[in-house]
Amino acid sequence: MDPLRSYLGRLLLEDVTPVVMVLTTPLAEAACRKSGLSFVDMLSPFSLFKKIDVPVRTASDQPYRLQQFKIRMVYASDVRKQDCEVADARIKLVVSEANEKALPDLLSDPPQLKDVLNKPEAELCPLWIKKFNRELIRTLSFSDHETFDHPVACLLVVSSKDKEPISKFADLFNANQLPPLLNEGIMDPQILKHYLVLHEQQDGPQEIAVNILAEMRTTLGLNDCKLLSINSSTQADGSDADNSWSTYKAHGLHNHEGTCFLNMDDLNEIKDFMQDFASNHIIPYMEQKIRVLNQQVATTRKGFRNQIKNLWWRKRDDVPEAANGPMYTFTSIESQIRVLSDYAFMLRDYELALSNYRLLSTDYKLDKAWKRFAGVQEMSGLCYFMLDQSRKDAEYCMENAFTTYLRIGSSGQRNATRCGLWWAEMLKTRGQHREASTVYFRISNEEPSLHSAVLLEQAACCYLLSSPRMLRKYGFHLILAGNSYYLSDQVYINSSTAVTF
Amino acid sequence: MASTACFVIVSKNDIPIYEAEVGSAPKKEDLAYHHQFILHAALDVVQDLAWTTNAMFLRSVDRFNDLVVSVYVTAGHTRFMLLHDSRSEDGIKSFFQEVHELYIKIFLNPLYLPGSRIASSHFDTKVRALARKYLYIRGIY
Repeated sequence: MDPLRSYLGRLLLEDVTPVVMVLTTPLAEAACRKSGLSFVDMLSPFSLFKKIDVPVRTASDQPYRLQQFKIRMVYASDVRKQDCEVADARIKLVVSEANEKALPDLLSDPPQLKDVLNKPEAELCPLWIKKFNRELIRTLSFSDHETFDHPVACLLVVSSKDKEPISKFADLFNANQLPPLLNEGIMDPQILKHYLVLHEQQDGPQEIAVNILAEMRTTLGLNDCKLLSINSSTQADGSDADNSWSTYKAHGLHNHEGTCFLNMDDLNEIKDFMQDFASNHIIPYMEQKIRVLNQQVATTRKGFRNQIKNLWWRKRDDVPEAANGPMYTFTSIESQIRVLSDYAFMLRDYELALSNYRLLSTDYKLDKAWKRFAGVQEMSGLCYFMLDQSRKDAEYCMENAFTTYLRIGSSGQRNATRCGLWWAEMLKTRGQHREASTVYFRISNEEPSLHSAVLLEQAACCYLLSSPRMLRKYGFHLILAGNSYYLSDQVYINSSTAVTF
Repeated sequence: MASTACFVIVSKNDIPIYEAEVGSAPKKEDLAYHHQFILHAALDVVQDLAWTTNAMFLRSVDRFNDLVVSVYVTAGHTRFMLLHDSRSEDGIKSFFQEVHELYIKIFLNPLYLPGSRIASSHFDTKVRALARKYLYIRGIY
């Protein structure tokens, strides 16, 4: 099966994508809120491109065309590790919501075994479990040892009503508001910046905004400044945009208060802006960065002589020791290679990504930086999967990553879970459901009871899907899951079909 | 030295006809039927494995955390299953072979209905004695 069309492929194409950090002034944000949306919510439905058709040329001379692309818009204040309690509460919410929906079914008679066996595969693994997995994976966003979550670009937004917008831009980008990733030197603060002026049609004619735009263009650069008009509709209920509104609502553009001033022109403008932003700014910037870094890597690392130099005289001076292994700043060659590989992965050049990940894994192993080593092994496994090559290598990498994460103790626990989830999805795509179940079972041992209950349920489903069917294992794992649910005080009577063997 | 072990004989109709806890570790309350569950689930694996080889002793067919399930299949498709923590294989093989002999003697009894529970206390004593001998278990029996 084509990896890009499998569930894991699609998951990666949606989650491992470039992040755009958004900084808005309060007035700009208020303008968006009038339509019941935050700025990020307004732009998010337009951030998934199905047919972007952009030629991309990475290290080689052959350009290829990129069709599907996605960018993630995140507020700067959210670009940090989530608190454990907040994250756990969110996950618990997913489970309780599923609980409520399932309650009426559960109060009726338990389903007969043959009905369960006849259900198609998609139904056996209900949607909420997939949501649960994604939330669990998301709790790990913005870690410092992986760079695919580090922002690629920064979008600064002011409103046409702001006084002195140019200085506002400088204010927005000041150190206090920036996420710790940039401040602590883990990430290169030189990122692509794009400036946007938001103008509300209701406030008056566009001249003010156009003037501001001209001023911005002279100081900040011709190509990096844009104007966006919103709230053009005079009616408060969004009836101007009726036809397309429903399709955008499907993408998640839903306003909470019910009043909305956006009309069709606005939505089209936003769509055009996002298209332009992605194809003319983000992708070329990433390409450029890849080419530059690749050049650097080629001169310092590739080639026989350099490899020997690296092996024997690996300098320890610029790698200061920290409590949990060597600290790498963004200037170190290893971090740069990691950025190079992650960008290549996000632009779908998996071979380039893979060769660099392999280069890094030997480096990190020599330095005994286990968490980073595990991270790189994980990504190599994913590359092998996306390239549809060498199943054994992919599994070996994932197994390696998993055991290394477990070995480093509590800080690596959640990472191990994520690695396990990806690994299990990989095995399921290849039809190896039995091995997937053992992976789910292994992860369930590491997590607290609610999470382990859901994971055991997934393991049970996999046993059911394996050929030959393992009904007894299915029943056993359901009961273990039920026990875990009971221990975590969730009244979720998972459908323990009273298996009559 | 406390150790866990649970021995079950399952007939060809998938009905357990004999079971004995032969370990010396005290049984935990919340895991009351854990051993039975594990052995029952292992039957799935045995089902397929038994037809791939003509050996009777199938070694360890399944694991659960740190417990291992070893299985011995007789010619009449009766399965002897032992749940234990990792132990020497030779001892287990000899244990199974001796229990097989005792089992044949039970079958030779014309008043024994094949497939029914083995209720003989003599059989029980002998099995436990064999467990003590071959599985190096120190118990208070």
